[in-house]
Order: sequence, then structure tokens, then C-alpha cells
Amino acid sequence: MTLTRRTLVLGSGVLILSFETRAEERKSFPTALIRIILANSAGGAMDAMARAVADKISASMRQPVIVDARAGANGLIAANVVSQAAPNGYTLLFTNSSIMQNSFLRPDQMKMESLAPVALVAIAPNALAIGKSIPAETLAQFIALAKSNPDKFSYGSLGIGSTGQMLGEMLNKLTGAHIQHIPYKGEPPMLQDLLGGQISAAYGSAGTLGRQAAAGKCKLLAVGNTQRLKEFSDVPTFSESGFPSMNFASGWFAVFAPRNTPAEVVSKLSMEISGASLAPDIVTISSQLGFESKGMPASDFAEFLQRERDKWGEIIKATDIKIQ
Amino acid sequence: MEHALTDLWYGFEVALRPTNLIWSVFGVLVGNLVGVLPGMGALTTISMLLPLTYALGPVPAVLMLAGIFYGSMYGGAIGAILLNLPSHPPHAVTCIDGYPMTLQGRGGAALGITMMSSFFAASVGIVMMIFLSPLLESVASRFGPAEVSAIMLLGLLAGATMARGSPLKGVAMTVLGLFIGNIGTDAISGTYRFTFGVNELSDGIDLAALCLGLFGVADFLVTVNRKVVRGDEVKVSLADMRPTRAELKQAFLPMLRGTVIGCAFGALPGTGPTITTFIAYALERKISRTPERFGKGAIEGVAAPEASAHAKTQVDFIPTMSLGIPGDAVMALLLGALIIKGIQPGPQLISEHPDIFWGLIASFWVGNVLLVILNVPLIGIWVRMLQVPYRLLFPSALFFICIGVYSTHNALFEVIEVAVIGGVGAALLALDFPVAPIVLGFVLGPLFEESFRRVMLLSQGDLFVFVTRPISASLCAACGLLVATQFIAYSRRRRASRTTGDETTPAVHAFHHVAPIEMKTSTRREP
Repeated sequence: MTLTRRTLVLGSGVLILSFETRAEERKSFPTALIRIILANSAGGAMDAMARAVADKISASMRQPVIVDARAGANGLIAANVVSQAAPNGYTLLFTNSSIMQNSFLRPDQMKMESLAPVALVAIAPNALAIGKSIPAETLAQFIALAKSNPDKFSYGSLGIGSTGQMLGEMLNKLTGAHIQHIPYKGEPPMLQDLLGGQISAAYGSAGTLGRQAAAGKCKLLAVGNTQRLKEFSDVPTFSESGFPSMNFASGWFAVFAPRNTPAEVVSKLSMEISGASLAPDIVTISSQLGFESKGMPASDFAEFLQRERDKWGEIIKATDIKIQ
Repeated sequence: MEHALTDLWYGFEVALRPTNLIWSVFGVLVGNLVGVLPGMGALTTISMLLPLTYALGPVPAVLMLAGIFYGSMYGGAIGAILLNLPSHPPHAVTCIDGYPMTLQGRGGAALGITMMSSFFAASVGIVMMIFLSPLLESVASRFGPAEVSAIMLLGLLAGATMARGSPLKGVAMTVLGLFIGNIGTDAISGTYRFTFGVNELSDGIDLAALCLGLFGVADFLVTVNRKVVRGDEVKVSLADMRPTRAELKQAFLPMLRGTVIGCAFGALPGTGPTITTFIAYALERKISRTPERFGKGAIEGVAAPEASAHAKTQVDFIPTMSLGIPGDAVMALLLGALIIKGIQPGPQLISEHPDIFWGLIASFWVGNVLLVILNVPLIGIWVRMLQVPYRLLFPSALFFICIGVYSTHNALFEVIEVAVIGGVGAALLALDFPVAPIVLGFVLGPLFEESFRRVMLLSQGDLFVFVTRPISASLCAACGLLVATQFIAYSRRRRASRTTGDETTPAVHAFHHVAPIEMKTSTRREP
């Protein structure tokens, strides 16, 4: 009796499931839960951004969207999970620009071609700050100082292949100064050493450095953005300081899908995510986090990505940055 | 001073507002509970409960998250002492003497002492935070990579010989820990080391997995085949739960020393709580007149590290709140929660949001009082947990270990990691190797290496910077002193053993003579 009942329940379950799938095929994407794999740990600024976007698209597409934080290996773990997922649009990657660093520095482990760009969510401008005891107020003064005191100055970055290192090596190359590179694992220890005067300069996110500068703990010399930042309107861009080639200095946050995801699924997601990125409340959140909302759809983002990659490739070649 | 008192008064007013109080209570309760569960550290819990704060105001959100953090420190000691399970890495050192106390039926007393030391140390830490923030900040700012590497070297030297039994084995295990610490991405050059093409290893071995594997799982694997298992022999009676007068007396000075060490380390961002507890333990063992008691249930070995952990936990909030520079990952999450609320952590936080800063400080006190009130009656219940038959207790503990390590990265890889480490740990335990020095080497090695190489980059390879900077010079002198006393102690012992004709000691002595030098060179690498 129990056996038959169990069989019956199981059987009807299977039947219902098979009906469901057939019904799903007819309905348009999405018909089930979407998982966004975050290439960072939970709780950071990137997580906040991803969750805000996830909530928005979840409401507009009427499907649950969850954020699954899979930090590790500078974003490689999450990128690999997504590139190996079924290309159906239900598993997406939310990552920052470190994915591109990886594709240059560890080409055997990360290929940009394994992912399909969906949308650019926001950009995070970088900046150069120097310690408050360094007698320079502008980038030109700092460079003059560094050139007249060779081997006395150092700059911190977030590690080999980070935007900071690229900027620092570019500056050395363009000016002929020798400012020693000191890599760090994260912003907090770098900031600690900058404020304590252990290193003379640091490249980091404009928001973090700017807050310390506003309190007089360090001096912001230049920001890497096409125009001056609203929050720090008195700080010139690298272009204005005479280094137009250093203006690339933005980190970015974007969504990718596995390669071979159907074009109509990508375009639907792209529309939703780029739209959500420009919603007023998301714009507010991102400016609070020190970012700038972009909401760039797939086609533009793919072009943007290509330009970035060309630029980075040139810089890496010119400055000879590599993993020893 | 008076200004601080009025601010603190205001803080209490904030902390005792019903909503804030409720969330703070909720935080410490959850923290205490997850602290007991192996593998579920404050970091995992806070990141899981972070979405909950989206609906809260900034003050209750921070109060709750901070409550989880220090609440879990109280809970962590429980697993370490009763089950040999350091649910939170700093408690690994508490296992060394806490667990033997449990085996002797004094687990309740150990917990009682832990609660007292914790509360005392946390209170001192809070006072430090209120009155000495500016002073500690100025000390911290003078702490560069040279000082950090000198203090790490001191920790390694002090810790290598702290385990019970053969010092040779202790040193060997520290070196093993240093090696395990090498696995992962080299912070300076970005090279993968010993990852064997496994991407998951590029972030190194997970500290929680290492601790739980070496202590909990290894111990389980070793004991499970014995006919008489621990759970059945321990008898628990209420009278045993209270620490005796003699135990209290014995624990008092270690508690004070532990608190001082915790406060000192608290001011230094990036040092981490694990080194703090190890240093506190090593110090107790060094100055004890009966060092042979350590590892066999010495109450000093429980009181000092626990006190230091709690003092460090509280003082850690200074750089986080006053400079906006998080001391560790938990602090970074806490600041992250503020960022999501639209509050920018930074040097202006205290002046712009006094309600958050002073409310938080006052809530520390409220929370700590609550934790003591909560935990003292609970000791009885926790100890009674030991009466659960071993065949039920340990499989459930293993289950929680799996969940805990899984949740750190949402990946099965950590579960495999903990199983492999457990197997290795069981082999080491069976061969009577102490496992605590592995944790020490693992934690300190990478910190030492990273800062040492940064010093070399900054000084263009000049080693003299270590002696020209005053703080690092005195730390280096302390290292030298430590090696010297060790040397004298061994040569004395050798002389004594010559008269008795003991043949093993000269070999041990010879190794010790070499060991510190060897460790120095093994962690140095070409930049």
C-alpha cells in the first residue's frame, strides 16, 4: 500500500515536472531563479552594488535573483564557475576589472573569450595620493621632488598587475623618475603605511583616498577620469596634469554570462541590467560608494572592453609588468 | 577626559534606546551561539546576516554586527575548552590547556575563568579605547613594515618552543606551519607557490580549515578507535564548575598580563588576534616557575590567551573607527555595512557620527555584561553537553565543521581541505607531535615574509633599517635576548644531563642552537 502510494506520488511529481518544463520552454526568459556569482567576498562595496542591481532586476523580471559570493584567486574562481556553467543566462558573473588583469597576467587560467559581456554597471575612478609630510602640492612638484631625490620615494599599489602598478610604472617611464613600487594585498594596509609615512605615495580608489585627504591625512594629487570628480572638484585629472595617457585609470564593475549564451537572452539581461544601473536609487548608492553608474548595454560594453584591453596590453608591454 | 565622559554618557543613552538595545542583544546572542559551532566564525555569520541590516538604521546595524563579533569570541572558547574544537583560530592556543582541564573534569572551572578573564580584559580594552585612542594611534602610525616583521619574528621565536614535549618537535612543527603558509599567491610578486595548478589553492590554505582539521578532526580520528572514549569517562558535577580559590589566584596575574598584551596588539592593525593569543601563552609559559605543567591543564594557559583575545577584540575597533582603516576582514565587513548605509568611514566618522562611535562603545559594555550574565548559568549546560554520548557528539561536531568550512567560501574545496588536514594532523598526533606550533607558523610566516620583503624593497636591501628604527631595534633586541636565554637554559641542562649521562639532550641542544638562524633564512626570499 505504502509502496504504491509512494510510486503514485513520485510518478505524478515527475509528470508535473515534465509539464512544467514544457510550459517553461514556451514562456520567455527568465522563468526560473537567476544566480549572480560575485567575484568577491560578501559585504564589500562590490557586494552592495551587486545586491542593489539584483533586487532591481528581480523586481522587473519577476524572478528571484540571488547573489552568491565566491571570492578567491583575484576573481578567477568565480570567473571559472561561470564560464563552465550552462550558457542559458541563469548563471551570471558580477566582477570588477581584475578579471582583465588576470587575462593578461595569467593567460593560461583566464581567457576573456570564455565569457560574454552583458553590461557595464559602474566605474570606480582611481587616484594618486601622497603622504601629508611630502613637500609637494601638485603632481608636477612631486615628480620634480622625486627626480631630484632618486630612490627616496615609493608608491603603494594593490599588487602586481593592478591599475596602481600600471599607473606608477607609466609615471616612472614618462618622467624618468624612479619611484619604488611596493605591492600590497589590500587597501587597508596600504593606507596604514601611507598615513604612517612608510611609503610616500599610493594609487587607490578615489573614494577611499579622498576621504583620508579630506581629513588632512594625505594629499590627493590627481584622479584618473575623463573629467574631475564631483566630490573632489579641486583635484585635477591626470590629463590636466600633463599625462593624458594615464587617464585610463578606472576600475569597473560589470556583468558577464557564459560564452555561447543565446543572443536574445544576453540582450534581455543587458537591457535589464543596464537599465537598473541607471535607476535613480542605484545611482545614489553607487555615488555613495565612490563609483559612477554607467549602465552600458552589451554592444557598447563589448567595444569598451576591447578598447580597455588594447590600452592595457600596450601599457603592460611598455612597462614590462609581469609575474616573476 | 571629562569630555570623553560626557560623550560616553551620551553613548549609553544611544546604546540603551530600545531598538538599539534589542539589536545589540540579538547580535551578542547570535554571536555567542555561532561562536560555539565549529567553523562558523564571526566573519561568516556577519556576512550572512549583513542583508538583515539593510532594513535597519546605521546605529542598530553596527551595534548588532559588532555584537556578533565579540559575542562569538565568548562562544569560541567553549568549543576549544570542552571539545578541543577551536571554532575561531585565536582559540587554538586555548585548546592546549583548556582541553586537558576538561579531561580532568575541570572544564567548567576553565570556562568560569575564561568568562572572568574575558570580561575583565574587554572592560580594560574599552577603557583604553575611550581614553587612549589618540596615543595608540600615534604608536600605530610609527609601526611600519620593519616593526611588523620584527614583532612577527619575536612571535615565531617565542612560540616555537612553547608546546609541551620535545622542543625539537615544536620547532619542526613551526617550520611545517611556515611551509604551509607559503602555499598560495606570493603577495609581493604575484607568483603562485605550491598550488599545483589548483586555483582554489591560490588563496592559500584556509585558516579555519587548518585549525579545525588539526584540532577537532585529528583528535576525533585518533580517539575514535579507542575502546574507552572521553565522553564516557568525564563526570560532571556542579561543584566542579566553580573555579577554586587557588585556581582564581593562579589565574589572576596571567589575566592581567594577557590583557596588557591584547591591548598592545590591539593598537597595531594587521597583527591579528591569533598572534596575540600565542604570544600571551608563550609569555606565561616562559615566566612560569612550573613550565612543565603547561599542556597538561594549566589554568594560566587558559586565562592569559583568552584575556588577550578579548582585549585585542575591543582595542581593534580603534583604528577601524577612528581612521576608517579596518584591522581585519570582520572590521572591513563592519565598515562595509556603514558604507551601504551611506556613511563614509574615515577620520571624520567620530565627529560626523558621534552616535555611532559612542553608541558602539557603550554597547560594548552593555553587550559584555549581557554575555557574562548569559554565559555563567550556561556553563552548566555547555558542560553537560559532554555527557552526550561520544558516538552522537562527535559526528555532529564533524557535521558542523563541514558546514562551517563550506560556508566560508561556499565551496566544497574547503571541506576536502579540512579532511586532508585532519588526516595529517591525526598522524602527527599519533607520533606525539604538538600541532599548535603549526598554526603559529602558518599565521605568522606569511605576515613576516610580506613585511620583511616590503622593508627590503623600501630600504633597497639594507638590513640595518631593523636596528636604526627604535621600535624595531628594541624588538630585535628582545629576539636576541630570547635566543640567548634559550641557549643558556639548554647549555645548563646539557651540563646537568652530562652528569646523569642522558644521551638525547646534546642532540636537542645542537638543534636549538641552529634553529632560530634556520628559521630566519627559510622565510627570506629574493625580492
